[in-house]
Formats: sequence, structure tokens, C-alpha cells
Amino acid sequence: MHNKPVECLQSLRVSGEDHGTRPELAAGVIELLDHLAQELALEYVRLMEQAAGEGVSTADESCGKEE
Amino acid sequence: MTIMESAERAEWTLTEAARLLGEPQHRLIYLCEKGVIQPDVQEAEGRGSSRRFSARNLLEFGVALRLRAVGIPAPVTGAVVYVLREFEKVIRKEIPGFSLPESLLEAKSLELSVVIGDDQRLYFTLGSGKSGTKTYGGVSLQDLIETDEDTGEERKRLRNVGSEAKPVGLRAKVEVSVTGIAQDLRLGA
Repeated sequence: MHNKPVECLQSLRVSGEDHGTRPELAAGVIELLDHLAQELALEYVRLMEQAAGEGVSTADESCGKEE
Repeated sequence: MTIMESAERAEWTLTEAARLLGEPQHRLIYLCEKGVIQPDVQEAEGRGSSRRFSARNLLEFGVALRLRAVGIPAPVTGAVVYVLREFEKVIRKEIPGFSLPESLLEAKSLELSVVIGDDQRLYFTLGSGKSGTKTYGGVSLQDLIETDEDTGEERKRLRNVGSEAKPVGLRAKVEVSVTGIAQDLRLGA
């Protein structure tokens, strides 16, 4: 898992998109929560891809046994 | 009617949402008025219009109501909901079609939880039986509740939070299973 500077994450934002900004949260906190969500999401994707890869490997082994 | 039974539905009224969640309407209204939940379909705009919610909103309600039930302040709950929304957006860029709560109902879905420790910090955990569980966050609840102007000192204090966290010394915590709530929504009232 890679670490990205928080500043780079801002480039991921689509201009004009509503991010559901909560007025009661400070700007610095929003930035932090964005970074947290980013890291969490990338880990989720990584784990799902890992699980998919394991599923393919298992299927290949099963085919081999059946033959 | 459950979310799974009404798979073709895209919206629920406040009354339907309250019934599905098993909660009085005033609790849902409170979360909307505090800005914790923002109706995806339609916001109430004076007399004659009522709020309408998406399936994702129902998941957000489920998480928020459980946090509120154990005394977690609305700003913290709002931050949790915000992270979940951003989480979905980022994943969707990598996995088109990913959506909450439906994607959490898949057989190989991972366990996603919100944790608030007795260190007064907010964490998110993610994992599965095979891969184990990783913890992210460690955001101070005080930083979420206080609304002071953003200062350079605050930025410095908040930096470094967001990568994998390793909370130590926790003796108590509140944990809300986002995946569990998504699965519960299948059961309905």
C-alpha cells in the first residue's frame, strides 16, 4: 500500500462535484477524512483483487484434479 | 418490503425508511436536520415536499443510528457518514458498479467496521478471515466536534493520521459493523 501526499489527493476531486461537505467540520478535518477514505478504499480494492486472484487459482487447481 | 425484495426501487420515503430500520421517524429527522444524512433523492423543501432516500442513505441511517444510540455526537457521526461516501466514490473509480450497500452483500465482501476507542479516537477497520484486519484512522473526536478555524497548528497535528493505525492500550471500544448493517437491511421489518 502506498502513501500519497495529502495535497495530491485534492487533484482527484472533480470540480463542482458535491462532496457532501459538512459545514460543522473544519477544512483541515475534511482533508483528513478524504485521505482516510482514500486509504481505506485502496485497501478494499487490493483485498478484493487478491480474493479474486485466489478464486481463479482455486478454479485452475480444481480443473486440474478433475482431469 | 426489504431492500433485496425491492431491488428495482431507488427511493424510500421517511416513513418507509423508519419502518425498514425499525426506528421512530423523529430520530431520522434529527439526523437529516443535523446534516449527518443528506437525502440522495430529494430533500424536504417546505410544505408539500418530503425527503426521499436512497439505499445508500438507509445504510447511512443504520450506521448513524447505532452510533447515536451509544451517545456518539452528531459531528462524529457526520464524519463517519462522510468517510463512507468518499470510500464508495474512490472504490467506484477502480471497480465500476461498486455501490453501498449492495456491494457489501456479495459473498466475498470484506468486513468493514467503524470503531471508536476509549482513546477518544475514530477508526475504521477492514479485513476478512484470511487476510486479517487492518485499522485506519485514529482521528481525534475532539477535532471532529470542535469547529475552530483551521490553523496551521491543527494541520500539523492532524497530519500522519489516515494511514494504517495501530491503536494500543484500548480497554474499551464501540464497534459498528457497516457490513453487518448492510446485511441486516435485507431482513426488513
